[in-house]
Amino acid sequence: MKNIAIQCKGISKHYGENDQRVEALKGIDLDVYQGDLTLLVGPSGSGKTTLLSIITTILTPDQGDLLLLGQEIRNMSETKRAEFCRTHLGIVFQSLFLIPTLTVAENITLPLILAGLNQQVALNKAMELLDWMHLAHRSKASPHSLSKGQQQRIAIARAMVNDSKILVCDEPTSALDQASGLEIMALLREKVLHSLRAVFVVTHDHRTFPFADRMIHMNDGQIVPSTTSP
Amino acid sequence: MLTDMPSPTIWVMDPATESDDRVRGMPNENLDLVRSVPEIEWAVPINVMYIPLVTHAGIFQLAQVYGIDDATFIGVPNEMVEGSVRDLRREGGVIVDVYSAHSSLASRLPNGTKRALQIGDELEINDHRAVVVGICEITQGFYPQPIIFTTLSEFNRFTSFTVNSLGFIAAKTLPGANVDEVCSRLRAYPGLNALTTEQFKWRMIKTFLETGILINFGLSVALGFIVGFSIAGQIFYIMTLQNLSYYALIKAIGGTEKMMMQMILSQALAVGTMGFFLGIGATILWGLAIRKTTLAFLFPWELLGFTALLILVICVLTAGFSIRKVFRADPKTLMGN
Repeated sequence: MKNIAIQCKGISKHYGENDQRVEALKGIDLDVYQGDLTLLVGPSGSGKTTLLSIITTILTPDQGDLLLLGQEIRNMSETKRAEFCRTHLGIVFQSLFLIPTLTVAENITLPLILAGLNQQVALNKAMELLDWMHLAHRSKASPHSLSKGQQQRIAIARAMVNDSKILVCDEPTSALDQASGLEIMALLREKVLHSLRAVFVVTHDHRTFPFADRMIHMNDGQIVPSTTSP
Repeated sequence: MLTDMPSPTIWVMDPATESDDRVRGMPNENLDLVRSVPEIEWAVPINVMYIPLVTHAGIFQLAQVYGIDDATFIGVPNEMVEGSVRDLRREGGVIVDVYSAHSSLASRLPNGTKRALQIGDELEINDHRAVVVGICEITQGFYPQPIIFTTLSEFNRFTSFTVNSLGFIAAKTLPGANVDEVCSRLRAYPGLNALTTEQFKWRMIKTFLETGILINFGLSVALGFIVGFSIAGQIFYIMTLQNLSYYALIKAIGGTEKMMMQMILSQALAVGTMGFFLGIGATILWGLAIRKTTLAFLFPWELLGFTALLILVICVLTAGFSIRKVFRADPKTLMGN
């Protein structure tokens, strides 16, 4: 029996008011399991990004509850929520947002530095990850000097450097060519994913589908019942 | 003047005289009058005036000329670089400050090299012949004019003063005398003002500040602050705006507002510290560049502290604007982009 990493219970979210009101999420119930690579797919405007924002605690739902690793997020104080994110949540943004003034290794250390870890210890940990990703030789390079695929791997390394139990990726392959895209998905599938970590990927890239343990389809703010395991 | 003449304890002058560059002459008889006052050990005449001079090379300058007591030479600077004070007894003998001798009064030779004013060189002071008999060290001041010392009799010749040739009477009280009381006694005579050295110093400072220099300096400091604040603030704020998405990222991955406030404050302080030391460095270089001129370069620690305080204020204010913006950085903007 797999443990639930992400649990959404009746989550609703709307934008705008009156005539402008848009129901982005309509009572989403969703379980994402540890040890699974789960894909969230759906057309543009289906509510994927809103759901992802809620799961990453960036947005607060109007209704419903979000539980991450069994902990209720709604009742957490701002400080506690920030601490929870630093410790348990890794996010890979679509545009990566690697800080250009920092080196590759320094970018990876960011969550650890925010968590108050000693810089040298953080750098050692970043180096371990870079070595594991065969990018140790680029540790002192500027992120902009790397290829798109390498940048994506750095963003993944940054998201998992704090040994996060939940890794959330927003369109990780959208800017990559065929080979790089498959390489990233293989990395997520074979190296990043393990029995204690849930990898949750929002995508509309069909090339990524074969890598998923589960696929969740969204449309018009709702989970489509045909959600399947591939 | 007071720094170079430390021995007098009392300065007697006309009540209209406010400082060593605003002097109203007193009748010569006042010297005997001061000398006759009980508890005065000695009293010597001194006069000072801005007088035009021309060097043998045709360089024109307005010099501050001091006429000192012919008999005692009290008032001449202690440190002679060249020549002897005694040579002031030569007809037209003058001592010139070393900085002017090497800069504003130095001539240019046909081969382009600079020739400092030297002993034996002739000058024309207010159309009267003078000859350089010595070069002396002086305490640098606020004004760049050459400083020249001569005897009072030569001073009177240069200025054509006859009756009211006393600018000041520098007097020393007997040991143990009550200086304030002696001053009061002197002030009781009509047309005399007597101040202790300390009182005279503050009177000169007050006169100096009343010239509007303080306002000009204040305006310069205020402008420096406003311009510094505007430029530093704007650059820092733009830098923050350019990096807003990264602050949003930090928020998204668990950075708190306190952490971001610390980040921005430390950035502002780091930039401020760099600016402070660059500014101090530039100021010291400027001080070194003018050290061989008559201009004084003073850099008291109070000024250093005041500058540091102003920079701190600029840092905190500029950081404050950036912090407000960063607090509003929304991680939502990162999603779907």
